Amino acid sequence: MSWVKKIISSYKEGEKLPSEALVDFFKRAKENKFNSFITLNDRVFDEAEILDRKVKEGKIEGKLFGIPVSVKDNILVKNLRVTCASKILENYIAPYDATVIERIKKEGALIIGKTNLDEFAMGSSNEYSYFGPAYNPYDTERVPGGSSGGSAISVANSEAVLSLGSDTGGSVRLPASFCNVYGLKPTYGAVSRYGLIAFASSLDQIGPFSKYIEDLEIIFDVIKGKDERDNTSVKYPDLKVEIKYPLKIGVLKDSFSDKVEDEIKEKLDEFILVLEKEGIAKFSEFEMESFEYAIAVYYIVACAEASSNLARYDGVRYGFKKGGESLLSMYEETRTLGFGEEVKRRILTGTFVLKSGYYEEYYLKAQKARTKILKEFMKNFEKFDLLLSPVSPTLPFKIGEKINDPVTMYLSDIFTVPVNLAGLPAIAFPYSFSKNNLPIGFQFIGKFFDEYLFFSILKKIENLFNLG
Amino acid sequence: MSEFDVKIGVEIHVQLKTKSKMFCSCKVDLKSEPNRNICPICTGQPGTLPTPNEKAVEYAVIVSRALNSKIPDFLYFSRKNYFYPDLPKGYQITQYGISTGYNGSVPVIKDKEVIYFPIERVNLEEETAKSIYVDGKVFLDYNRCGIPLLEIVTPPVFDFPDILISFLKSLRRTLIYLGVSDCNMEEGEFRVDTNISVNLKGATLDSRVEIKNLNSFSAIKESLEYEIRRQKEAILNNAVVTRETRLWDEVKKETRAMRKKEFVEDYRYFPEPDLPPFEVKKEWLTKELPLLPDYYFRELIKKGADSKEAEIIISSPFLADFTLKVLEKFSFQKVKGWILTEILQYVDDLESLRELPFSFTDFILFLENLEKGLIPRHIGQEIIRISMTEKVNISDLIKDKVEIKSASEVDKVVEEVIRENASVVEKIRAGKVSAISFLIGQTMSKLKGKANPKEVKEIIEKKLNIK
Repeated sequence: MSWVKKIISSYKEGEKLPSEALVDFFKRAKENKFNSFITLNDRVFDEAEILDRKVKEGKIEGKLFGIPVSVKDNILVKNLRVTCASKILENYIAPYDATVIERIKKEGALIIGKTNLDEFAMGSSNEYSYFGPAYNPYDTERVPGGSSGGSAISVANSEAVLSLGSDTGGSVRLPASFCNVYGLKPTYGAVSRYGLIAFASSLDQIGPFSKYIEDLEIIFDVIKGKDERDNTSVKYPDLKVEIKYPLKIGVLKDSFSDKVEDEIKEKLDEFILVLEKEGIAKFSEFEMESFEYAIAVYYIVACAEASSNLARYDGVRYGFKKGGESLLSMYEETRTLGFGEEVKRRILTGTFVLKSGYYEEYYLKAQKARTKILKEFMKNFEKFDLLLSPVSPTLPFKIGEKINDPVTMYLSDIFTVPVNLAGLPAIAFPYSFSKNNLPIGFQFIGKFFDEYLFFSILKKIENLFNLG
Repeated sequence: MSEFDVKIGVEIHVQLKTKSKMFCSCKVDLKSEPNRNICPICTGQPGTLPTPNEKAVEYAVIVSRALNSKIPDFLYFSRKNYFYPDLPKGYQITQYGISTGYNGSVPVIKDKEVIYFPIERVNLEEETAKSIYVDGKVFLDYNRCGIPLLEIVTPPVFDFPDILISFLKSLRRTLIYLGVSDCNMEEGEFRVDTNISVNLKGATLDSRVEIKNLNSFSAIKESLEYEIRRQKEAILNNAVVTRETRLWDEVKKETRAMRKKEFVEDYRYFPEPDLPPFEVKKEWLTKELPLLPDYYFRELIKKGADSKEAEIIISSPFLADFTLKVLEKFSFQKVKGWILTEILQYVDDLESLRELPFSFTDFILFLENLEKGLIPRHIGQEIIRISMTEKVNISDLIKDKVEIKSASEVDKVVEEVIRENASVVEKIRAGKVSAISFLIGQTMSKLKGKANPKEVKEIIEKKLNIK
């Protein structure tokens, strides 16, 4: 089932106009029950009216024609402010469109607003936002996951049909899983990063959220592909692979370790059984030696790059500025007051690991470990078509529960960060609920450019379990 | 008298004259109003990414080749992190750990010899914004920000300011010949930072002093001479020479401490994650290089120029090429006066000479006419003067000036002149033969120069029956 196609066909059938379809989405977005939005697009109805005219002229063209899309507030949409959920960019108006925004606009998407996140996408709970935490729609005392919490909520609560987020260490997949929606972290380089405010350049990827797998494929088709403005982007290969079921799927052994909550393990067992029974896949376990180092490696690489990427917020040209008695005092006051605690923690960590004399010990070593992690993944792909694990070792946790314990917070990403370090694609998909009605999701990890394999198997699974 | 070791090294920054900037498509144009050639990329707006300018990379490779450097198969960029208002991203994209060129050399002409001085590395990087200080305020012009910049570094191998100046002039000339930069020093297109340490012979103490803000060869020379003197005196007085950066004060003719270097600055270099490593293209490595100054120098010497003359001619790549083409038809002895004296007296800035009002074929025609005696020497000088000052092609002037009057016309005028200057004629007849030149001058002037003065003289002599 595709919500996107359903809406577009309602335009074609003359049942609705884009501006009419928009009303309910916008109403919920404006109500902002779970604090998922930082900024709404006040001009979205003007934009919808242009599409209304096209409908009347019979010119319904574009894969996302009249589809309300929300965008994480670290992706630039021209003339809308882009805050990164930080005081330092509180009043910064985007001077250009990110490449992904150009691409979805060209296909007729209606950008409904900018969604909440952990400041500069640094966090796993969406609690580190200058605009306040976002709340899990399934239990408002709990976190929606981060950092793209607002994007996941906006889709879960039908404030938008689709959303674009970013995933550096799990920031699309974790909130997708906590909010019961799909979230894709594409192959590194498959989607242009131009116009995504950098957190860790070698790990960041823009990824979409949706309620239905077919819709994820539709928006991925639109945003993927080489962009001359991003040198790390690549031409998406034109592969037509025939998929033979049952697929061989490896289950990460750590999925069943005592760090993972029992309810998640039980559901994973159940999922495996059903898929085997249905002849969709055959499962066996695999181990990753480098798995236990992934978090440490991740925080070295991500913080090092962040410390450099965030140097431009200095009060000289734009954004929040304070002080100015001397140049040094301007830098100090602007950055001390402009950044939140978690961001400062990571900048300092990154500054430390890049220090002369420490570089080889930390950053260089971490880069070598990345190669090792990728090699281990690739070795497993000699045996398996896909790899499977939970997205998070825990169910959505309570707001405030981990905020004073950064290391425990970082462990929320234990299953997601190895994927970013290797540059591989992975997808979080909703599966079931805990006894307390909290969402439980899993992730598939694929080889480079396996996105369409994800879409294919998940369409089968979605039908089978009536998910989404 | 104590003996000293003087070690001087230099770091040269050269702005490349590409059409667009290093990592965005903004125009390179420093003559525009401030902050006209800027975009989200070169002002470091959030979300932007760099895209390397291939032409700049090609230039860097070509310079490395011309400087006889080793060039790696693959290159990558790194980030140099530091805070300064002229640096919009908080880091400069540069090369670190790998350079476009390694272990190169620059030929320096000394008398008739060519000596090679080493180049440690050639790095490609991006220029910073320009800070403009007005009434205690700092204004920033980002037109300059992101212009491709070459950093050329030498080891501390110079022991004398003079030899360093010769080196810099040779290097600069090479870059101009390559066409990668105009190297205008006043405009900051060729900037030099020197570092100098003076020690008692045999001592190992390294008290390197850097001197910045040097935008002319005389400033480089004077500041180094000052600094050598200052450091020698300090050592003789048992004072400590501090490791620091000093500025050259052009007015007071002295160096002044800018900031102490108590610790080595930590730039936290790491490979630029936004730009993957890339291959050095074969075509950059195989493309024929333009002929370089030392080639022209050798050719001119071969043709009979002395080193001083050759050096003057090669200071303009245009003139060097022009002269060698003329020398295919004429000997150096025959043309040197015309080029070095007659033409160059009208050229103010030889280094930026890029054209003459005539082509080398026009000039060859001119020389042929001179040789045949069709153009008298002084008319030739006049032709060059008018051509150079009024920007007229000499071919047109030759037609105009050298339409020689017929013998009967000259005859008529000579008779007029003799009639009008009876007293002079008398003097000549009385034996003051030298006064004949006055009559020649009068005749030439009446003929507006369009006669051969030799012939005029003969006619006068005949008429006056002298000789």
